[in-house]
Amino acid sequence: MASSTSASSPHRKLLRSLVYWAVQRCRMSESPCRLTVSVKRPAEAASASLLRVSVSDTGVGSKLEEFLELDVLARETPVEKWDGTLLITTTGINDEAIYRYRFNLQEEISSARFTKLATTYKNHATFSGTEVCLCLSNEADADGFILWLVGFFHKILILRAPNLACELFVEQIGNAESRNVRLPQDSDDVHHSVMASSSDRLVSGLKDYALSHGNTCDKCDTCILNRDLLKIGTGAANNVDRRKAKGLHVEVVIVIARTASDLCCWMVNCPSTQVLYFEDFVPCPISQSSFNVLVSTDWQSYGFKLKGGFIDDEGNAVLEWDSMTFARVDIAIHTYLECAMQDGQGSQQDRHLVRKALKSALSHLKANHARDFLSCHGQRVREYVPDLAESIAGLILSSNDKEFQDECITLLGLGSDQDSEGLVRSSICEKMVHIIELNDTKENVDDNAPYLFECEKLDEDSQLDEEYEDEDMVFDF
Amino acid sequence: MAAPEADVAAASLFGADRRLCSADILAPAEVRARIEVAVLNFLAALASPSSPAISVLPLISRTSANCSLRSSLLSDVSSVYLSYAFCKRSLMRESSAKAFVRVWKVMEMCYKILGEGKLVHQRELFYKLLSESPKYFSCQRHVNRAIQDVVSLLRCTRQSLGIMASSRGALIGRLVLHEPDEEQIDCSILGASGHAITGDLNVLGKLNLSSDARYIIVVEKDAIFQRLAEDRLYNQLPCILITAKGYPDIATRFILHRLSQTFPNMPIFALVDWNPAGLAILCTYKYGSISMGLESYRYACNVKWLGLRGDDLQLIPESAFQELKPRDSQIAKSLLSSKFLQESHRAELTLMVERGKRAEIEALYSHGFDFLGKYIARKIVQGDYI
Repeated sequence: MASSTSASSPHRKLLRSLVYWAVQRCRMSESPCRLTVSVKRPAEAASASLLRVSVSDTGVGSKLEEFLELDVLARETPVEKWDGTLLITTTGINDEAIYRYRFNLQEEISSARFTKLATTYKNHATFSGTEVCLCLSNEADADGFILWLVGFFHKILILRAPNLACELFVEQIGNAESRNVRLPQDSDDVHHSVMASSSDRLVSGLKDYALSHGNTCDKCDTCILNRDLLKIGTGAANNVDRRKAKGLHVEVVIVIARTASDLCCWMVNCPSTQVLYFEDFVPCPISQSSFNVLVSTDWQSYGFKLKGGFIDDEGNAVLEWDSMTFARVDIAIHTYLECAMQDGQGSQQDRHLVRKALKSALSHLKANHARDFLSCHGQRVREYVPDLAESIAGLILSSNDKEFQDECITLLGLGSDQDSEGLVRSSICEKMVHIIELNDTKENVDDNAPYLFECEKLDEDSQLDEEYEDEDMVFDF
Repeated sequence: MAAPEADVAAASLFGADRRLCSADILAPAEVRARIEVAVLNFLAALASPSSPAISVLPLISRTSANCSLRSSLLSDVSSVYLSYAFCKRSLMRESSAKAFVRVWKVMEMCYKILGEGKLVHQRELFYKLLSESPKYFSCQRHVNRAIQDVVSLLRCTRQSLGIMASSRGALIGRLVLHEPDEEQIDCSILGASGHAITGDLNVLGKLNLSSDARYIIVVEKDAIFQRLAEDRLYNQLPCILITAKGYPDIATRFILHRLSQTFPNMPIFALVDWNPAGLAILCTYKYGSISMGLESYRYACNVKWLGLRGDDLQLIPESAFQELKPRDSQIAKSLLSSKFLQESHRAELTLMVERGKRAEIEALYSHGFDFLGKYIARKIVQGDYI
């Protein structure tokens, strides 16, 4: 892929940073806020024409310090792509005026970077907010940028952040409706009580994401009908007491569609999962430590066969699965600080928390749906159960010793009229599968398992391997 | 669960017998009863309200680590026996899950076979299992091993399970066999292939034996057996010739043991190739085997090594010697590290390994086709055996 479409694209980095701070400002405000991103593109892709972008929010006023962090980015970005200028309008709730600044990051002399522009007085009106306007070049990759921005916004909407309404407008000036985008769409109608936890919201958002086939289409009517068949696992970890990273939370949500019949539009086997990664309520490229946690997790204990993982060009972790029976696997990881910080670098990475939350989500899945998330080992053992049950059932029913048969039937908890081979076989099957599930991933199960016959005296317990037996039995000396 | 030893000789075996683990010779109803107990125990564990579990199969370990030698004080027979060390077959371990299921499949078969009062060949059983459960039984070895697992689990002999292994054995010579309600068979007037030994131990057990032979000669290979039979060695040297045409199957060992019990004054001589495999065959007749150690200890016989031996190598032209193969070295190593090899045999084996060579009995034909008979006679008369 060309570098212009990669996560390192300066336009994307810039937008992501501006949106990130806007979101944090909204979080710090105690009242419901709105975040709006608008992009106006010219009618034709003329060489000198520009994309006019504005990011505005009704959160707390900006202290302007965060924009200094764009320094490095401004210097890396060719002037043709972005001239390093931001027009910032901001006001705090207690401010008497609305302040406007031009911020020129290309300016070498630091004192000359900020230019104060005309101030408007609020006349006792009480509101706060910030608007950042900038112009970006409208090059050939503008379409890719807009596509990315739409996807970015869809992802923000998955979080369903409380007290935050997000809007995206993309307009083409001089052209009628054809290429305009407006998010969220009227059909998105999600009401959450204020009390719903961020984890519950994420679950709701991720479910919709799954039902819309990963935001690749509108919500599929057929899939919606099977919404309740989706299997959900949630896990959370935090270190509120630790001084180092105050109130760092990690939430993991996993949504699984068990088989193609759960959601009939999809493929029979899920080949890969693009993991959704959020920091402080904004989609981000995944951190290396979190990615390492993902690929080093013991997926096999939960029945997942991980073939490999990589980070794609857009900074998303992609996990590749090997011949799985799940039709769709969606994973979201969200790390955030309890209290938003205006000038922070973002939540510090804590791979222990991520690992703990991920494991917790997987265990949640397994606890609620033991049969579906049996470990790979358990699945292999389970394959033998039907044949074994058939053998024992056949043995019992071939007997002409009625007493023996009755005793077997009683032991299985069946009624005297339930002595058909099919019923006996399925009863034995059920019991064995139940035991396999019960003992799945437990250690030392074998040591505690009873022997079929009492052994008089055990000199030693040694395990006979199959390989050993391959030796020619002819000469045992 | 030691098998009831009929004679006084049993009392003399002291501590060994307390450690000896044996497979019982049982009637069909008793074996079925044991299988039923197995099923009931398994179901009881499955259905346990407090701690349901899939039982583990404890099988007597059939490895050299679990074998010992027991020597009788009253007779000169020693046998290899297995003791109470177990290996576990568990469904939960992937390495033994298939073998676990195989044991149950064979038990199911045996239960049905015994219920119908039948006796089935190992080979027939293989085809039946292959057609019904191809996932578990794709070769004869799977079946044979699973059968031995059932023997070791239920502690009853293979024939008690309703299964027998066909024998390749044959005998010929100064012996008259008489099956009850059948005609007598005079083994001295048979064709060179001799009388085929049946795999059915019950039939062999009921045979009446009468003989005026002075020796029993166990021959390793079919070709030698036939040569000696054609030459009617037993008319020159009063003897009974017996062969298993290679590795001694249980039936051949059984009948040899019966002969030795019926005619206690007849010494048993072995004629094997000069290589580790030949000695291993001799040892199997002499001590029994480990893989069927729960049963075969009963049929050990005092077999003496007549030839080919180190002293005879001078009779063999240099060109007739062959290199020892890797398999030979493997067997030699295994024998040398075993607990039962007597000193004189150990010395012979060491010589083989040092020379790195092996030789077949047929090499003696370089002196003429009638040399072999004379060689055997001379050795016996001179008492040249170990």
